[in-house]
Amino acid sequence: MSAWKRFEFYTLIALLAVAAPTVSAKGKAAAKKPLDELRLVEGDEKGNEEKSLKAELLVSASENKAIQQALKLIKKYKGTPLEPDLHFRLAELYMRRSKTDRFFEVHRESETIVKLAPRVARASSVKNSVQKAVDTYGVIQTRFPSFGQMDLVVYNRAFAYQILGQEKDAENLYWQLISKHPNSPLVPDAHLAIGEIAFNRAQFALALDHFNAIKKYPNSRVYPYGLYKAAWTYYNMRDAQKGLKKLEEVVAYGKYISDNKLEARLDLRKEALNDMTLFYEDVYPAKDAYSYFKQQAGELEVGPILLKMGSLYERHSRFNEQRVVLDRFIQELPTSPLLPKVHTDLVLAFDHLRQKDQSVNRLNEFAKLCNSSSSWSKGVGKTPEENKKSAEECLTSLNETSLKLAKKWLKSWKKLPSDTSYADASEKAFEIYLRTPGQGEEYAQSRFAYAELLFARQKFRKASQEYAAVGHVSAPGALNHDASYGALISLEKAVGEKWSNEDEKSFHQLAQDYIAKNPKGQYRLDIEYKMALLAYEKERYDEAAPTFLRLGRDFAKQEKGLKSQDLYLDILNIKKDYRGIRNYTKELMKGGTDVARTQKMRKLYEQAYFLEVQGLEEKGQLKEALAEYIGFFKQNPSSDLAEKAMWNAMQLHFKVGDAWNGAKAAEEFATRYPQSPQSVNALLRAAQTFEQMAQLGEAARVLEKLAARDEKNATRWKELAADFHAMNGAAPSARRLYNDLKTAANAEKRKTLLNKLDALEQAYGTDQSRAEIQRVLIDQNVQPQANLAKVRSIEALLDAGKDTEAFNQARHYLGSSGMSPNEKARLRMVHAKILEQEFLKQSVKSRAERVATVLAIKTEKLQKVQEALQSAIKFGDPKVSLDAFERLYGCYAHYVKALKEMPVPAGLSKEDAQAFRAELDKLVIPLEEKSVDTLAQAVTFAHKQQFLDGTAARLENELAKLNQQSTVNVAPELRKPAMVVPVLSGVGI
Amino acid sequence: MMNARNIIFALPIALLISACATGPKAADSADSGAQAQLSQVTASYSDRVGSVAVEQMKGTTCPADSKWENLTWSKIVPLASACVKAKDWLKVEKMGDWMARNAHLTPWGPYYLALSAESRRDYPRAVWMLELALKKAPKEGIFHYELGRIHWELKEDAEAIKHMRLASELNPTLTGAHWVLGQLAMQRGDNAEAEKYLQKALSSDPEHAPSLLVMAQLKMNAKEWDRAETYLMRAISANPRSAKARLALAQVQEQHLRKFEEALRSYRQLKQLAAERKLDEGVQLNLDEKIQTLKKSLTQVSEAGKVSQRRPSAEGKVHE
Repeated sequence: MSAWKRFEFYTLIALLAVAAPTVSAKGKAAAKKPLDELRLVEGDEKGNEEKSLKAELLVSASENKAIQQALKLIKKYKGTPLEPDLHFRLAELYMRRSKTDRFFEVHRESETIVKLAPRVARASSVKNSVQKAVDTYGVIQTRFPSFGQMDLVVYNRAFAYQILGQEKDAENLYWQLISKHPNSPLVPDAHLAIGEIAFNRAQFALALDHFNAIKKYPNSRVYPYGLYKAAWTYYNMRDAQKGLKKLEEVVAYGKYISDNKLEARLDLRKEALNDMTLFYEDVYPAKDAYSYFKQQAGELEVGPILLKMGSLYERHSRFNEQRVVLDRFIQELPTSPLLPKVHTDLVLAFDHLRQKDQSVNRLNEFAKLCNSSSSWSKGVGKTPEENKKSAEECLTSLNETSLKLAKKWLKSWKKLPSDTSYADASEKAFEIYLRTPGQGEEYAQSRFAYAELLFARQKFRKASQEYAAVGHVSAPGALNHDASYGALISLEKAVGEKWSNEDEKSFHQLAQDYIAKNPKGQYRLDIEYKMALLAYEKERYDEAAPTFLRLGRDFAKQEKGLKSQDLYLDILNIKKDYRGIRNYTKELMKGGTDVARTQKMRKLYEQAYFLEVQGLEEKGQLKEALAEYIGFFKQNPSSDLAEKAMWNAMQLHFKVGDAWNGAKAAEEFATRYPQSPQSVNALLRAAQTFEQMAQLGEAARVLEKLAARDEKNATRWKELAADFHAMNGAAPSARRLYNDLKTAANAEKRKTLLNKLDALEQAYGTDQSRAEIQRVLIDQNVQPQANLAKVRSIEALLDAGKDTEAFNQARHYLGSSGMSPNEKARLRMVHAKILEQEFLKQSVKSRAERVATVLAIKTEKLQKVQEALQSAIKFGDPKVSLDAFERLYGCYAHYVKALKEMPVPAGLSKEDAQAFRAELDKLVIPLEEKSVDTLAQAVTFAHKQQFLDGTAARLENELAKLNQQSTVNVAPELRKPAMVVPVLSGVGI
Repeated sequence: MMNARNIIFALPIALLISACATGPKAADSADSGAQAQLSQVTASYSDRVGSVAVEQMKGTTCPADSKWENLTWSKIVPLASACVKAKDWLKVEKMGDWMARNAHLTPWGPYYLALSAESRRDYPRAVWMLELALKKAPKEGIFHYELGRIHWELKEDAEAIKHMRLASELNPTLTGAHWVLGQLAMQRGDNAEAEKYLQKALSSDPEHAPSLLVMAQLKMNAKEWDRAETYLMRAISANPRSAKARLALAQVQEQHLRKFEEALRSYRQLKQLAAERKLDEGVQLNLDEKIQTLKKSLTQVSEAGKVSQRRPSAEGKVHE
């Protein structure tokens, strides 16, 4: 507000104070009937409004009645001497009603007015009433120029014009009063009014003339006001010193009327002293302010003036001057009750001077002042109660100031974080503020702000304490929540990585506080998670586990909830509680919507399941482990571990001694996991096991699978499968495989396979199949089978009586190369046998003249047999040789017998017959010896060869017979010993 | 050729299995565990198992039902043997198969499967099974014995003798093996070897008639007539129907021991048994003539000795 405006304001007050009694003195008398029911009640705004309305309506009604009455009287007393008085009275009533109209005009928008008196409200008009007063005063001036109170009529009409804003008309009338009624007591008032009008028009010289004109009337009621206005006019004319002098005159006049007890006069000392501060600022230095105002104030208190002086300096940003004035105040007035305000202003002055350190220092001084033990606190009041009250107010003021500055500096620091002086100052201010224990929202908010500041400045441990303090004092709600959480976070940051037991205990306490007051707090999950995490990190798994479990369940869709689940699983893993992991992951999988996580859980579930089973295995619970492995891969066929489970189950089958199911499992493994690197091994194991269990059919079947799987060794496995099929009596399968293999085999391998086919057919084949393989062997010249087959076929010819054919073929093959000695021995035996038959068939019956020829023929045939047999013996085949020896002996024996039994030819005399017999005997004796020798040779050979067919014993007996051995040979014929079965009576298994 | 198949197969399998196991420990321990069990079985078995010729087996009968499947393998073995004696080869096959699968560490499953195969002349299979049994119990002679029998049947004499020899070495209760080897040794003139085997046979079965006869022959060949007489008498005791043993006894007593009275008694017994057709073969000797001749000789000896002493009459009843 400018100085000029301020003057206008004070002028209006003065006008009301001066003019109102003039106008309202009579009005007040008319309304001097207060009604109890219209008495206002404090606090009842609406009721009071209604009461005021009712009062004004009553006043308005009585005013209107009075006006009507006056108008009637004017009519009645028209032309009489009463008429001008009645007009004057009417004009006053109009002016009075204008006040009532003003009420309605001002409250025209009020609902109560509109509701209760809408018509009156609309009809009311200040302007109309005042204009009617102007007109009425004009009637008096015009029609009754000699009216006795004309100066009052002129003044009132001028004032009414002023109300209507017609200042020119008003000014003319004021001049008319001064010039035409110079003795009127209203002349100083008219000068004041003209001065005011000029002042308002900034015509300060004119105004000053009129204000100075009032000096001529020291007894006038408006005299000090004229001085006062003159001072302001000088001030507006930029002459503060003269203005100050005028105000000094006002002060002196006030002192005069005070000293002389002229109470009817206006004492404007206080207003003047107050305004002097403004003028002083422009005239004298701050350091002299105390002395100056001490002198001017006299018996009045100088403290408030000095305080105002300081405020002015502050308002004009002259903080140094303010500081000077206030410092002097503190120094000169140490017991002033205004000291808290002075300290406050001083603190703020330093702040304005951007001396935050000083400001903080002053706050500390201020705090000392407010301390209950300070001399000021003890002496500021008249009684201890007053002292206490003042000290409390001081403290309140201190706290308001410190808090205000703390917040302000905090705000500044936030805008300019690089300037840490704000943060330092704010911190100290907060500390001062918070020294006083407090309650309530603001206090809590302030401490919270302090904690925030500390946190922002990374003073985490202190921040944690402050947050916690807020948490303790504040009621549940947003602030409590944030503070409680802040305490936890700060502590967490203060601690860093390594948590001492003490810190962890604190964290627990803070966490419990948070949860107690914020059971549904936003960070409950984080906090509980952190608590559990701390326990987890310190390996207190039993403590951490239940929390993680609960958080994992309650906050399954949040990140921490998921982490809790993971950590709970980790604890279970650390404890090797695989059953627990298995159950938990199963539970998590049920409610899972996140595909990736569900998959992860499934993987964990499977791993735990698997590890659990492995645990059983490690503990030696093999049967249980086996059942679980089987259960695993049945339940989790698509698991990555299913393959391993099946493999392990297979191994366990073997471990528990169930080789049969082990082999089956191995085969199933290979079937289910054909791409597994273990697939071949599994099949090998299965085949080996079936083989060990003499399950040749199973082994062969598995080997065929293996052949299909293990291409590198396919031939080998197929051949083994064929072997097993063969020995299992599955000749068709064996035959098929051998033939398959034969097709792709090289020459050497083909030979091997043909030999196997030969063995197969010999053991399990039909006559037809045997003949067929023989043919193949011969066609492909597979040795020794081909040659043996040839030999056998020649022997068969012999057996079939086809001697010539047999003889010729035998001779043919004996002549060819490639036959082994054994084969040649057998072929030679074919010859020998044919010749033997011819020899045996050769009869020795004959006439006498033919005896020599017959015997020659027989002997020749014997020689041929002998030659053939000896030739066969020479090839060295033991069996053939022994057979040959025996046959040779037989031939000799036969010849001996034939000679001995040879009939004497017919026609011989007795002497000739005797001579014939004697000749035969000569032939027989060497042959008999030859026969026995041959048999002895056969026996010796048989003994040497260790034949098991009984030949040796038979020949030995024959020899004993020939030798006419006296004692019988009791050695039994060598026979295959009897089949035996085991007797396990002593077996301890 | 086929005989070696399972052996050939087993080696690479064992190597592959040990090399390819997922869990080396598990695979190794499983194998070593099995081996340990097998060793235990083998050791126990080799030390104590006995044998008996099927014909001599007594007591147990081949079961008609399948309740045997609920028994342990050691209880099934005698039942299977009874079925062998009863020639119920289908059941023998079943029991062998059951034991092969359910008691695969023991050799008895394959053994009975071999006997079953042998019964139907499936010799390759029988040999394979026996070799499998030998893999499980390498020190058991019974399997060599059976292999010897099969090679004998196949006229593979050398192989048969080889296995009989192993059988004899490994199991002292295999009387048949000892006898065969003893007789063969005697035939080739190795009397010491022959006596060794025959003693083993007689230790196993003191009444084994063939062994007693061979032993008697061995002694006769060695001109140990007293001992020959003893063995002949034991042989007769073991087999009273043996014509040769009785004749040989009589001849030894008459010709070599000059125990004419004993000889006469032996001839008379022989004659009486022949008349009663209680001999296993005919006697190629004129017993009446022999008895008369011997009586004369005894009379002459008796008369020559009357001067100095009197002897009681040698006439008496024939004792069998």
